[in-house]
Amino acid sequence: MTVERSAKSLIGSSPSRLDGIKYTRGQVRYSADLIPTGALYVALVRSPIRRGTIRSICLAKALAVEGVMAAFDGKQIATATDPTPPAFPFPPPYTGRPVLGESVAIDAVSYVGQAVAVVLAESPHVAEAAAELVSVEYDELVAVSNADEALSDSAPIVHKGWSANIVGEDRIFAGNVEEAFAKASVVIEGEIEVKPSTVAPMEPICYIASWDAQSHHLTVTGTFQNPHTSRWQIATALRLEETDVRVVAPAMGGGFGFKMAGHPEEVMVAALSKILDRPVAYVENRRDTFSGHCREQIHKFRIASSRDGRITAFQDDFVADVGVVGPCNGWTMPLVTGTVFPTLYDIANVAIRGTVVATNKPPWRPIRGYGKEIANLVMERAVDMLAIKLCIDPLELRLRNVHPPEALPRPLPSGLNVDSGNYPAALHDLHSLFGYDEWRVRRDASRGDEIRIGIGIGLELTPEGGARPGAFPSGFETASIRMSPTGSVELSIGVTSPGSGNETGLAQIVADVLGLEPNAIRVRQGDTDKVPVGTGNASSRALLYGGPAAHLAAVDLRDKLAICASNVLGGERDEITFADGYAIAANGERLSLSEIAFGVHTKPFTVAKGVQLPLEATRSFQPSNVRIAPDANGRIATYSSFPYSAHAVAVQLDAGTGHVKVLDIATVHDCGVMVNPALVTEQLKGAVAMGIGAGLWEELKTAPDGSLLTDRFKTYLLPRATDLPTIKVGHMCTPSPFHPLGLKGAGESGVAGALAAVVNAVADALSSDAEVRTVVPVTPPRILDLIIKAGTR
Amino acid sequence: MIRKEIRFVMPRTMEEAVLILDEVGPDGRVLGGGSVLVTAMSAGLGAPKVVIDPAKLGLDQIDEHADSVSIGARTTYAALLKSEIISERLPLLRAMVEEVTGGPGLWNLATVGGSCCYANPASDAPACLTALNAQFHLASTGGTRVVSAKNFFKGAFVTDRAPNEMLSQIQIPFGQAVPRTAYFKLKHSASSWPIVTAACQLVEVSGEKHLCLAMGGLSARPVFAEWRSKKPFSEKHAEAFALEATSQVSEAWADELADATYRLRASKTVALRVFKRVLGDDKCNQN
Repeated sequence: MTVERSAKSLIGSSPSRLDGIKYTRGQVRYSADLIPTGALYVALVRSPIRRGTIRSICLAKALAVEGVMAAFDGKQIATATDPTPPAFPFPPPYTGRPVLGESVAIDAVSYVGQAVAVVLAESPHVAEAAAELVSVEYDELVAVSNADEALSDSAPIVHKGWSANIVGEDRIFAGNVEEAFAKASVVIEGEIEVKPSTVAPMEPICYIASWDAQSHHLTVTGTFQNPHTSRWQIATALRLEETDVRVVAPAMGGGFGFKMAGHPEEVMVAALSKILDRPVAYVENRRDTFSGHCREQIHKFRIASSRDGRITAFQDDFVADVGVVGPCNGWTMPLVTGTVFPTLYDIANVAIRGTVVATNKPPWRPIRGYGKEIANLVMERAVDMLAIKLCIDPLELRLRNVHPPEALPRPLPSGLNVDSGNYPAALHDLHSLFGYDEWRVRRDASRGDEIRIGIGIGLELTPEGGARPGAFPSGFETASIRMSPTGSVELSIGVTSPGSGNETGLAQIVADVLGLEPNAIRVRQGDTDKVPVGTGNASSRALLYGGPAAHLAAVDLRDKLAICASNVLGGERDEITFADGYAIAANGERLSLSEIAFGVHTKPFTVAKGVQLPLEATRSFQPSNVRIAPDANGRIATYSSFPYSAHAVAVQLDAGTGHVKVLDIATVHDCGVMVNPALVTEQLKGAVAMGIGAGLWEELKTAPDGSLLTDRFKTYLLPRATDLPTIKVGHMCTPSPFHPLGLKGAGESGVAGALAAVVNAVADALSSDAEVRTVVPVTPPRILDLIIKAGTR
Repeated sequence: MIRKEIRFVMPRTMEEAVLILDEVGPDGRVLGGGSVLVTAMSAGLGAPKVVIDPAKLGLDQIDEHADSVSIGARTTYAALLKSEIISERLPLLRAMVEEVTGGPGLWNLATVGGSCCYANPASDAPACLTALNAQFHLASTGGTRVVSAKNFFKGAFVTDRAPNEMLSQIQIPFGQAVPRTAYFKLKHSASSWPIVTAACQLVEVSGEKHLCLAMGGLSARPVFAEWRSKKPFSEKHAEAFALEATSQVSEAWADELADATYRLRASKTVALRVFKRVLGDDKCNQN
């Protein structure tokens, strides 16, 4: 399918990335490359226990080390800071409840790894060595170590000022589930336990703060995914005006949610710089990066259908263990999970009960998928188990139950309004792209062999463009465009790039409007003093929200330039077209944009006659498919767009060792109109790799005392290039009817479908050895355990 | 982040090297390729006062002798891969080196000697060199002593090397008949440590067939088993041999990637597979 807009020259093309050569040549400077000479380096003393009170902290030995300039405990830091406000407000009935907002522990600790003291030295080596000399005495208290404990009546309360450990609950209903299950011919029950995993970005966290007492101004440079949110949090915690704080986010070595606002070190580093009146830098080590866990949860589900495979009911009860709740919004991910059900399927009766609990573990860090990947995993596992029970091919069962394209737009039980799609077409495309029939033959031929093949399908619905009321910032993005006197075009925008290349897509949109090449557009991002307030990088919004904002601003500028051109060339302004750097009149006469710009600035009374100067425009975009008025069930709709994808994975399973090798991956993806298909494709491949990793290998493990065991890449296994086959990608395009450019958002989606497909593929290879309970990741030890328990080996 | 200042020395002679090592005792470390030592120091694990880099001692040579090959302690995996002597005389070692995890960045740096001295149960070299009956030459101010692989690997991260000793070379015997060999490495994914490895070799010595198996990752030290017979071994023996070898293990190794139960379970499959590869359709074995 094509749309009128994609017929334009630049939308739908894949020009080279604006900064591609710089990245390739290693000329890009990341945060830690920007630490100024003379900065003090921060090393943290972290709690070795999960819960306890701090009896004493002795900093003397650390302070005596040569090169150590200062050391502080939490109480000293607190004299200069207030608690950091949460980026995401608690939904009712818990609105306004306190979170763990101090950047360094005061009097008590709540998780292993919580900072209890800071040491600052002229070199990171000295700082770390001295931090080891800080002695802290704790009175250890009984900790809450898992969700079951958290919910027991006798559990200690993790957070001060709370009456229970429940962080939030969500209850989503459609139809009459009990009646549907009672009447159903077939009911399948299952359970999925998701073990903790993490993002593992190439570049760990880094913050550099420079307080300028003279101008009463603080600059914090670092790995900020949400610069404006962080500016607000830092300014609030430091009792400064927002305008006194500048947050800069340089090139980033991967974000994936992990670098969203609210890390305690953001405020900590800023406060230390202000206290000491010196630049202060913190560079996280890999071990601490690995403490940023998430995803730990258990789902118990059941699904009902008629004998011919018409799904009639779905129910999921889950409990997620989000650790301690701090200013970062990782804990909200399980609350998104529930809103995605029943994904692409037409199921009349749905009941979701999600419970989020706090335990004495580090706070969750956000991750790509943002909880949506888990909903899709659970849904797809349920559908696959049902297919086995019904003896219906899993792809065929999905075809019988996905919504037909004419049913869209349609509301989910959660109130979200799914925009557009052609799910049956995606399944058909996947069938041929993957070679489904050929893989089935190979799979069937290997059934019962020690080395056997399994194939799995995973459908994915990924709500995008999150715009939750109360969150900072929320449902809009702003772009400012300006043309210099010599005709250079600069776009300043509140969305940022985590290294994904979205600046190139934004430049394409602007260049398309102005008749320029994308490399003629300078895109400014990630600097709160230079760009409009924006969300930064989240929920695939760079092009989804930033794109139309940039488009609107560029059209405003073009309108001004058209008046100028008609002033010089004559003819009607509406007849001026723009191409190849020129404004062209109906009679073919033309004027370069640089000539116009120079004319505007040197001969404004003639060239710019009738134009509201300057040659600038600022516009915002607000999505239309968001609803804040509650529906009949009291629910609002906070996601505007709904990309989806269909994935198939073939694996080879060694029943003698439980080892899994991925043989083939195919993905059909629909994010509506693609501004830059190459960027979409590569982001999608990255997401698929993350999904496969989460499904097969990636797991954070802790010792019974809460200490992290998997603290390096030899123990936390990411997929390497040689672990994955070529990922076959197919694109569809059903433009969103709610979006001015037909976009639905790209970048995040792809994790869920790959995760579900690979887990289903392993279950398929296990065949009768698979159990109703699935533990993710499905590692070789877990697989071999299932095979041996089933007694088939 | 390396937290404390270290003294980094590059002695020009072995005598100088062992003298320094003797002086500093347990505070000294000998650098192999650095893939373990430097990484550990950067993570703040272990803080040696003196690091001795033997780069100038010429310990990167591979030499063929009448009935053995000597490999300098600082020989990298890349050098082993390139060596025709290794390919011709020690095909089992060659097969092991081909399976070493990492890319050129690691292969050009990491050394087999360093790996042996580290003695991580979940690594390739210890079991393979045990199967090959390698001899470890340990130099100190008191001279050089030679320790066989079976005695060198004493436990998890523990070898017979004393703090004042330095590995100079590894000597590996070979026979005139071409051995039949198989190396199998089980690991979860490309970046994973080995979970279970098996190095198997069948050679004929004076009309007698010697079959040996060494397994890594299964126990704190390599598991070794050997069978000798005037008659050819048959693939039928594989299952019994696998059971015999793995049943030696009373306490299996466990780390972050796999527990003891899994290693024991998987080891039977791994052992069986190398036996089948070595014993199956083997002309050397049949005649």
